[in-house]
Amino acid sequence: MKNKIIRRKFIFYILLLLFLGCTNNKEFVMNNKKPLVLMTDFGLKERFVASMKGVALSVDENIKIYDLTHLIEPFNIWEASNTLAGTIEYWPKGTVFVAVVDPGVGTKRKSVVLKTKTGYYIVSPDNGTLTQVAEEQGIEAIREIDEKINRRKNSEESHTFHGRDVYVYTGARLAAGVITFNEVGKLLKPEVVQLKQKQAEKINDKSIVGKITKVELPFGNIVTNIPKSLFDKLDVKLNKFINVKIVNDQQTILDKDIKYVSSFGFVQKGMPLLYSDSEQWIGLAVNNGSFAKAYSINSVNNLKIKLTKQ
Amino acid sequence: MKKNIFFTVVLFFTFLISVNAQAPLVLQSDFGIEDAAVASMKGVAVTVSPDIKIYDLTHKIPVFNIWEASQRLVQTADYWPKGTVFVSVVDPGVGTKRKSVVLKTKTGQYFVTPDNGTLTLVAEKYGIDSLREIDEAVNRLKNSEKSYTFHGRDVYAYTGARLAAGIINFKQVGKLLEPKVVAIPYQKAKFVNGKIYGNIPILDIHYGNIWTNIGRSLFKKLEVKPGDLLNVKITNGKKTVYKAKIPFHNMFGSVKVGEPLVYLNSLSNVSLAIREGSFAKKYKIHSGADWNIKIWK
Repeated sequence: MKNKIIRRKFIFYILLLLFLGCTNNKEFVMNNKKPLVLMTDFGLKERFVASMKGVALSVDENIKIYDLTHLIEPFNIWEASNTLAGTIEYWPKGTVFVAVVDPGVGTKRKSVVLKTKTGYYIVSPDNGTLTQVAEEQGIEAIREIDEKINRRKNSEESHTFHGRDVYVYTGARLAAGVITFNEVGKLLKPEVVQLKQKQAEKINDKSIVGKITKVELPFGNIVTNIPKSLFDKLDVKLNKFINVKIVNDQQTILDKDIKYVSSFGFVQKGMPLLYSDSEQWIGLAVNNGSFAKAYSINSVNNLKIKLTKQ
Repeated sequence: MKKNIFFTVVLFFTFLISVNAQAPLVLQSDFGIEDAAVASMKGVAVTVSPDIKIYDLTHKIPVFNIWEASQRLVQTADYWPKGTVFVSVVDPGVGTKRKSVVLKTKTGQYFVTPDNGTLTLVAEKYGIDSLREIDEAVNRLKNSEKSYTFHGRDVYAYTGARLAAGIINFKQVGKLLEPKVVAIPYQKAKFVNGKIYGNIPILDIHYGNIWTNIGRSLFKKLEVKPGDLLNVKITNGKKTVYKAKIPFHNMFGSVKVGEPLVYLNSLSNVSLAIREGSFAKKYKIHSGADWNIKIWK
């Protein structure tokens, strides 16, 4: 009798173990922490990023920290917005992003956590950094960080490094499950500070006008604000030539017919091409070379582009 | 009864081991670290498996420099555990017909990469156990078909992470290929008629010393003693870039400051240096498959 009970227990345990082993559901056995992803304009030569990581590890030593990049051009909020929006969907749901490009640190700009409709969290000053993420992923809710609770202890005297004292501290606590989203602070209206960007537009049957948003390093590819979906309305077939005109305030920088292809290797080495990049924006590149260098495009400030179907 | 407990314990530990059976995932690319490209690769890997351990080899390979990608892999692979999965993406031909492969070496490591020459030195140094072509019908990030220019994220990091996390095994990568990779031709070290021929695979960048692929045993065939003068000729393709008579010494200190010498470096390979100066800068020497060297007495 006793033997039978033991045997049943034994079989039960075996089955339980097999179940745990077979399901890939790590929640049973592993901690349920979310990745913490950091993006700043702090560079890598100073202690700043390390201090942020130290704060996160002090919150929870098992937290998994990843770097998005720390080489955002200083104070370039647009680049921060753009870079964040370009990677977010490749991370697991629940990932917490801490984005600190914060020229107004210590002033009245709000410190917030945005929860997207798609289930990601972004901890950031509400200074325009959230522009594209809000647009593309949707706003589920925004809360203002309550610094009475969600601020590193004894950091009140520092007014210039909220990245360390407020954002990464709050982000780490959220990612580690020390606080819930509700505990971040009070609910705000579901809207963010928007950087104004003129959208690309189709001006007639054959032409689209837009602007150049980025020189992508290290390759020197040019990215525009023309989405592939808009470009498709011109109904251009692969391997056809498109007239590309790039102008700044004073003069025409480029006026050239360039082939539309799906990837770099479909034109000869050293030849320019027009393509849809991996985020589905229309871009310009040179196969095995640098478009920016070949056509002397050093800054994207005030560069307009016009694409015309032949 | 005791047998049952023993059995349970064994099973439990087997289970623990299986939970932790993740190999390291090591990433290399020419993407730089200024934008989100590397982060997106890591996000894909973390989405595949939240506990995966990701390491960076370097993301600063000079753009499109497949030869250097190949070099960097064989410079570090020895120091990583068996089973490590390397993802190397220097892929100027992305989206074109070049094959996407996983190479398993005879030493038990995996290399996920376009087969464009990146595997030249890996195959040579570690041997090919087998080579499989990545089946993109299965091993490609879902809903990424619209993107033609970022296989590093959509195919290579995705497949590498699944392999490292044990979600797929090597066979599930795709069909077996002939055990042969695209190899970049270069001058292997050899001794012919009293002359040694070799290649300059890479520079000791920091100091500007010139490293060659000529090992100590081959060099010994010249029978030189410290102080002997050697003829050295360096060519880039067909162009002679450097030609001079310089002495062989064991140490930099054996020549005067600013003077050149031939020596054996820390890997016991023949090297050139200028005492307290940069040989590479002074004589405009670079490295690569088309940079060769000839040495004779």
